[in-house]
Amino acid sequence: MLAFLKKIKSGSDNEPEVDAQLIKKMLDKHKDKIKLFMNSCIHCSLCAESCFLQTSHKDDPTYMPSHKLIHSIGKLYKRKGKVTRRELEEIRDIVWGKCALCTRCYCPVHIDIPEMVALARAVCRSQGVYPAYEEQGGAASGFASEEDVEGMLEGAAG
Amino acid sequence: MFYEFVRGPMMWIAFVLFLCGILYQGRKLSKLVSVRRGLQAPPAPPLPARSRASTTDGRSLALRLALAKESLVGKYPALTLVSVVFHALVLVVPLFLTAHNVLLDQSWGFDLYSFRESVSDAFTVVVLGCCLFFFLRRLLAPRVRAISTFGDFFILFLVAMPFLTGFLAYHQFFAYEIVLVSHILAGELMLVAIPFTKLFHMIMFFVNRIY
Repeated sequence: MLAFLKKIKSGSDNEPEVDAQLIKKMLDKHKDKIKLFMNSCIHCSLCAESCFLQTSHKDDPTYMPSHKLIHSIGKLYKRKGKVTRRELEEIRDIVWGKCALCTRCYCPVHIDIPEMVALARAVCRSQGVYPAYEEQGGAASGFASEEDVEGMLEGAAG
Repeated sequence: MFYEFVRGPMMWIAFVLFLCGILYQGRKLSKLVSVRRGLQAPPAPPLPARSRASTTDGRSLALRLALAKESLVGKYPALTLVSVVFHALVLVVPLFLTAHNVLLDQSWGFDLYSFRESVSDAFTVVVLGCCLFFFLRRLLAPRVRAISTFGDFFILFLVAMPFLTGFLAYHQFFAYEIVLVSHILAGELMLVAIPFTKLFHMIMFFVNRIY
């Protein structure tokens, strides 16, 4: 399991293919909503001030909720799930790295941005693409180290 | 002859396309809203009535003022003002324009109230100024530029053109007939574009809030 996750994180040559059909199936369940929200977004950027990550990175517009929406679920929807693993990793960096899912974001047109970010996270997870928290290991950080996890796995097996 | 065509059959085509587009989009949206309604939780219990003190308490007013500063109006006062004025005039000017009401009277036997021509003229200039504000904002503000696409500039152009050509036609700048036909075509193009582009936000705005 650990080796599999490490393989995905490192993007090795033997990485599994992205299951575009599965992604499309997941998106189709929310197709009407995604389409409504993507068509409703008038690119006004008024959501920017409502995101505390954006307000603390004022010079980086990629933290804007609308930017995150367009470049995560918007990209997945437009491509009908046909994205590369590299693109999924970029989406991962947006929906986890640039969004805390605090649901503070406000949209004048009432687009439910957190719901779309959560959906993008679900899509990424379905393909085994998510933050490599296990690599931040060590007791001080509060995360289990590699040895701890391997020990736990051996204990569970044995 | 081309003038008669754009003023007559083409106007009908534009209205039919506009209405069909509105009905098509409306049907899709109503399906979405009805699905959402089926999933809604039961209504929340009513809030307790406010005491008289809470509406007259100075601290409450200060808090409300502080919150207002953090609202969209407080953070973007210029944008809010321009946006409200723009959206109001985009609807009001074509409806209460003398020239349009004369045509309405000739075609259908009724008309609406008409502003004085100088007032309509001034309003048109205000609308064009607002369009320029939005264009510059989209071009120069980094946050807005980061998410802008060709479509955003195109719909702004679509909205500005009827007002610009109407202004030029009223003042009889350039070749009047060409400008007039351009004005009619620009208006018809905008009408057809409403259900099929982001201009549909004029209706989506309310639907999203219901949804």
